Amino acid sequence: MGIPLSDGAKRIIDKKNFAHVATVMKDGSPQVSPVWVYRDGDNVMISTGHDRQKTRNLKRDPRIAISIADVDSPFPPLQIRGRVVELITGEPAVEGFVEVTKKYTGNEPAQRPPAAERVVYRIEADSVVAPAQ
Amino acid sequence: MVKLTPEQRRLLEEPNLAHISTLMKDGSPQSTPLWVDYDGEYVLVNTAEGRQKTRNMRRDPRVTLSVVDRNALIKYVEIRGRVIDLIHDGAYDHLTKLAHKYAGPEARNPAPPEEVRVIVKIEPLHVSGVGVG
Repeated sequence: MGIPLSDGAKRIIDKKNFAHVATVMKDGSPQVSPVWVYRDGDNVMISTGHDRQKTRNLKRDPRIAISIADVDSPFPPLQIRGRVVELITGEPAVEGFVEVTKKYTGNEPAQRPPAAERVVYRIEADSVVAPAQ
Repeated sequence: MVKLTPEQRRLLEEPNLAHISTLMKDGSPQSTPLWVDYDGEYVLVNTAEGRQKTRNMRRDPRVTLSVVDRNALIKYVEIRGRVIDLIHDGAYDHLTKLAHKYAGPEARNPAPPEEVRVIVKIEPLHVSGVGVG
């Protein structure tokens, strides 16, 4: 069972910051990439392509780490360690892409991608280190 | 060892935050933002003894860094590498150099004097990027 996100954590996740997301490769080494994220309650949501390295990694090992340095105040950063608890595919994954695009650009995406190409990960946090407010 | 291209090198030499991922004792990833440097061969970061990432790197030298271009968010580089040395000599001064790079020539070294700083020397093994070939 995951832990709740503090107000400070929610505030940072809700801003238009890049999240740097780390997953584990087959050989156990870490892999990191910058992504857009959005929030659903106490879950961090990542919208990505179905064929990415992180997608393959997470199917094998759901453990994930996220770090976000708020562009207005980079230190102290938000650091989350957790697990992917749900892999969302199909039209709901496209909806996730639309939601995250609206969050970061203010607009709907110019084109809706095919449902087969998108996934959304729902992440539960096991540990959160966040600025106080 | 892999050398960075001039474009990739520029990303590391300009004041872009890096996010480094290390491995916890149980193999799960951990990710934090930090300042970064490149000396032409090795990626250098500066941290402190007692930190989680430092313990992780001593136990398992596999790390990955991602650096996003702060002026062109579509451009980023991912560097998978190996920690080859942790150096105490000159680490405090190295942090001053990084402070000037990221926070301006008047910036003060942010470390409290009792903190033991360490330069982490990372050998790049695999470098990939988007928008920075």
